[in-house]
Amino acid sequence: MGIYMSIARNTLIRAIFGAKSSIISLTVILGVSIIAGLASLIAPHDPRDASFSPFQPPSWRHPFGTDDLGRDLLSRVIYGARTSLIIGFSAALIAIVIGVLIGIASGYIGGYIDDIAMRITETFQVIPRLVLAVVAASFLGPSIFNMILIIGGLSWPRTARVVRSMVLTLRELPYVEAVRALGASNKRIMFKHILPSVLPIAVIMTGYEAAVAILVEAGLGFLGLSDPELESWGKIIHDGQRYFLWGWWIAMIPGSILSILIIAINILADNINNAINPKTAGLDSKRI
Amino acid sequence: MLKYVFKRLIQGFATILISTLVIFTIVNLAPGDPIIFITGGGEPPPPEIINQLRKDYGLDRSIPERLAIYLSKIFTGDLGYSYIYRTGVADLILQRLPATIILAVSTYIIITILGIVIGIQAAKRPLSLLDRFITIMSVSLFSFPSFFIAQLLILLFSIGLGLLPTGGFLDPRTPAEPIPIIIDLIKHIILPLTSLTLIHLGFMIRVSRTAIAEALGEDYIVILRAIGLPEKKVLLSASRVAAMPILTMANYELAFLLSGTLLVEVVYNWPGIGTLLYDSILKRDYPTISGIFFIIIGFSVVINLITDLVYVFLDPRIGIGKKTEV
Repeated sequence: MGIYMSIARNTLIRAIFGAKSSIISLTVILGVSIIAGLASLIAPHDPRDASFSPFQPPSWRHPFGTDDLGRDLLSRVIYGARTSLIIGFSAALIAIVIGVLIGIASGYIGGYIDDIAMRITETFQVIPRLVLAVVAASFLGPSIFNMILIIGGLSWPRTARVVRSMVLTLRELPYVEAVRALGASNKRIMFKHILPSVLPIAVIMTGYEAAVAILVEAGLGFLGLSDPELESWGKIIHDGQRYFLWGWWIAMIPGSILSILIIAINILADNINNAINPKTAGLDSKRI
Repeated sequence: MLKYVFKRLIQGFATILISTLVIFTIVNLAPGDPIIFITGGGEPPPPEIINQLRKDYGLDRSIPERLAIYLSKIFTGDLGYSYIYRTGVADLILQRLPATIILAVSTYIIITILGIVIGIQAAKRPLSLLDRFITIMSVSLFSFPSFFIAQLLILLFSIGLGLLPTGGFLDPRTPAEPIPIIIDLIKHIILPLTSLTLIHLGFMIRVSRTAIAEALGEDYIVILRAIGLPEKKVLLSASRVAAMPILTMANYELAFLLSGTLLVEVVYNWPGIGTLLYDSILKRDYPTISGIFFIIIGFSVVINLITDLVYVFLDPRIGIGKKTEV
């Protein structure tokens, strides 16, 4: 078992329920997730139903108002939450799996593999993620599946670096030395003994990367690159800018909800991170 | 020392070369025949003309051949010829560069200074009410989507209060004299600059706070305090130690800003690298896309290289032989 596991479990509970900011953040994230999950039950109207009069300000009948085509904004935002969360967390998961694998291989095996992996990582980090994502999405087409692959495939370098630097320390620890002396193969050591120890950091990175992935997805939608079949917060915000003079709420409401969700994810990830490893608080830039 | 400098130079060159290669390949393998975009869509012209165009633009050659020609020329400053704008890519980029540089460098200066000032306030008493407030504020700032902040500012200051223009760089009606031009530029830059500052400040505050808090935790600070040095001087001393890591991160931010902050430039219609890239992607202008990537990568590598070298020269504590990447 990884040495961090049991410590992590206790600190995790303390990090989540010990701080007010964590509880609020968790409530926000769970709230948005539940609403997104039950979108078809909760949304008052079909998000594509354009039968209302356009540019109605928020009211009892339309709590978020209606948009330029007369669609109910609340329903669009609810369905948009689904897209954001699915893309955000799936992309983050892909990124973390790639990042952890590369980080462990690079840190544990070292040598040429490490050199090559780090050069590739650097190359990816030199260009802002959003810029690469825009190119990829415009060439491959912005279907939800492509979106997940593109954002996930571009988001692993930060995790790879964090995991690698952790593995550099871990591989010198006595327990790793002991299993090596017992004759465990490198593969076994990497997956059975090192992997569990980097899992807590992987969970935290999933949070951070999901936050960035949701922002990238919204950014792409804002630039007009989103699945035409699906609602996306970025797309609504993009539409809203054209109609600022007639309806400020079209852009401002989804924008505010998006911001609050990202803040909540980042604060929760920060608090857990501070509790588990106070030294790495802050980690790295959130470059998108 | 020389060996280290040499090694870093080679590494930087390798990064530029590899990424240029990757970008060129990806861009040229992308679906969509550029001929369609060159001819502007609509009714396709007769095949003879298409063949002639293909030849003129070098599109009749294979991709490896094109790549070889490209690589042999980019380091001499020839970035190719734009399909859409019908000028040299290098000229096109040079035209757009000033707007991006003005915006990036002003943001860089402001976020570095404000980041350090606010970071010191937070680091003074860790976990105090002020520190917690600053921490939450900095997380919130870097969580905001940049395009949302940009829109919010337009809505407040341009549409709501009518104080500032909604976008653009210079008003064509401004007389071509230095003072009116400067005033006009300031009017146009305030909103994009404020947006970028807000978005990037959060990160700089966090970096400064961590670096200064760490410096304040070192043994010599205890001694300085024990000697009875005024707290102000203790803080000054700690910030001097923290300056290098802070500047390092600030320089990374600068590299990032120089790559043309796509979303903010698009919202404000700012005529920089970001909007040029966006337009070229929409119009499938492959040479321009590749050229911008080359410039972005070049900027990043050079700035990071300079930062690393300055670090080594200024901080004799770093044993270069033992320098471990984190």
